[in-house]
Amino acid sequence: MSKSRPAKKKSPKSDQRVRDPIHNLIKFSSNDEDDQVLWEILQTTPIQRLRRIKQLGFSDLIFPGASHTRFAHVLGTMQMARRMIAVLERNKVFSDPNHKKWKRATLAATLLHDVGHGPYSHVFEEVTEPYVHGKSHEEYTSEIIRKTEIAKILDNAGVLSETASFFDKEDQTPYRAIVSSQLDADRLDFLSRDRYFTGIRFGHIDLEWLFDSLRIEQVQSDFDSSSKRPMFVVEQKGLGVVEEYLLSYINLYESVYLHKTTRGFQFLIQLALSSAFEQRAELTKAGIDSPIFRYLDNPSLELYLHLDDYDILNLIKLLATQGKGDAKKFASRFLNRNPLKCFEPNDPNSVPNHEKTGLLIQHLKEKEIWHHEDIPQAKGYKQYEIMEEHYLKNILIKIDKTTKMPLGQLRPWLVRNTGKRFRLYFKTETDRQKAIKFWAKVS
Amino acid sequence: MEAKQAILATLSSTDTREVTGKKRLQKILRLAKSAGYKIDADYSIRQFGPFSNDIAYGADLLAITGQIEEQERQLGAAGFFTTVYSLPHDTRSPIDVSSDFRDLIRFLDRYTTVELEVASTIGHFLDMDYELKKSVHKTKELKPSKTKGAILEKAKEIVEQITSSKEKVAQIRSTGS
Repeated sequence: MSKSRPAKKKSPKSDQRVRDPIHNLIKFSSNDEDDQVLWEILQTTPIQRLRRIKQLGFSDLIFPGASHTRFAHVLGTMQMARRMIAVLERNKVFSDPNHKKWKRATLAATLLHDVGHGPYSHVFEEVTEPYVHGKSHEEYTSEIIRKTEIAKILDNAGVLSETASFFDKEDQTPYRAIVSSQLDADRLDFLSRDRYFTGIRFGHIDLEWLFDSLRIEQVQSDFDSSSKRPMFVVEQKGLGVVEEYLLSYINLYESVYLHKTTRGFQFLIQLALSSAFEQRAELTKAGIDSPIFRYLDNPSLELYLHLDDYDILNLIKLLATQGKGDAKKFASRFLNRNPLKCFEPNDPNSVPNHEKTGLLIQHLKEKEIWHHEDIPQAKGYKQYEIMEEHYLKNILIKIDKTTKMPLGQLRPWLVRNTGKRFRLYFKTETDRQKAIKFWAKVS
Repeated sequence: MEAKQAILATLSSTDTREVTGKKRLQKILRLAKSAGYKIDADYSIRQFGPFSNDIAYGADLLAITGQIEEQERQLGAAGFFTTVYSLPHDTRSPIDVSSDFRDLIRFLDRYTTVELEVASTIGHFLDMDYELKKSVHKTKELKPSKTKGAILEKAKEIVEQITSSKEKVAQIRSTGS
């Protein structure tokens, strides 16, 4: 932030500017009521906590530059939302009598959309689930909006129920499309940001051209031509940049989010933490304590909001030095960058051999070789049918004054129809080699 | 029963030995769970109603290992892709299925996916100990456009059947028969 702030004064008394590598200047004007609300939300404890949660979890063990935070991402998402709202405001087709209110709620929602993430995001959710039957980060997001200091700010700003509605109701409005759709502010920011910080060169999104091509049009939402709703559409001149955007989405999943080594670290940490939870009484006796243990005892919102990536790293460091057995072993491996060993039996570019895969798993079970089965979920563009409820979630291309077509109809190869990937993770290279050997032997 | 077994049992029970749509499979199994069948699958409410990672993962694993087939078929007016799960043609039923379970799945399979979605959402709230009225109200709040007219009526019909199945399953369990 460009200025330090006094402890209690949360609205900007003067204009505030944040430097950001993706958006350059993100400004908060002292004369703008929306900006004041957003600035105030930005200062809250739940949002500041996102400074200590990395956007890409363990990816910086593979892409050393990728240590950017969820805080930077939510700020960037809000800035993307501002640009999409500018499209709404310059458009003559769209006029909502409650625009002022919904604009504020939309911007607040983009700032808050990741506020429920726990340490290392999904890692924490998965590893604690058997112990606390915890909530998903989406459920925590709704709870944080309604039950913390954020609720008061939103209530004072007159947009509490509107902001919360983005996370617990479904509808189809342009505001909703900004917060959650196949071309939303979240995806636009994380693709641009993650590309920048990982250093990957493909997948550039020409944001200027994209926003210049965005329009709001009345769109037929089902076969009844009288049923029309306002929605974002992309002019034909923007078709190329939308294609680039989707290819970037598909490729980043492949190359970064589902990177085999990143997953190897994720499963290693899960093993270390699970072992630590099992030995918890012993560890406490030995003087090893952690806020994570306290959360397991009492999985309250208050304790959840105290947790961040540092708590996991601190516990791992303690386990590596003072822990015992598997917890110590796996924690040490993490600190020395020694992930679980991956074997992907089927070539991802050809049809998988299901029978052979079944035999391999059976063999590993018979030989009692520990392994983790991973079926990474690649993401792509999803096409919804015209009669489907979510038809307006398609990216719509404006062909002429009356015709809008879903992108998947114009560019069928972008519609996700990919084969499944299947990976096995092993604790040791020896076990991995045993699997490779068996795979080669079975015809 | 494990999620994978529950999926196999469901596919064995339908007339066609297949289920069209990931969402449909999710909802059928959620309703079977509401009907009292012990299925090891945790559900939470998502955009399209109750969703279970255990079921999604179980189906993926069964497909990867060839125990079920997973095809992307072009369906509907515009021919968009939909996932179809089926049992391989050359195999017999891979799992013993009780006639009660089979009847329940066949009953559910007569309804559309959107009716199952609404019913399973109501069922999910009922399982969280909300009263029926409150469960319907919460579902309406979540899905205002889907809980209108005939869809809601059909969903209530499903819920009614599920509730009576639950009593039956509980009775069988208590008598040990």
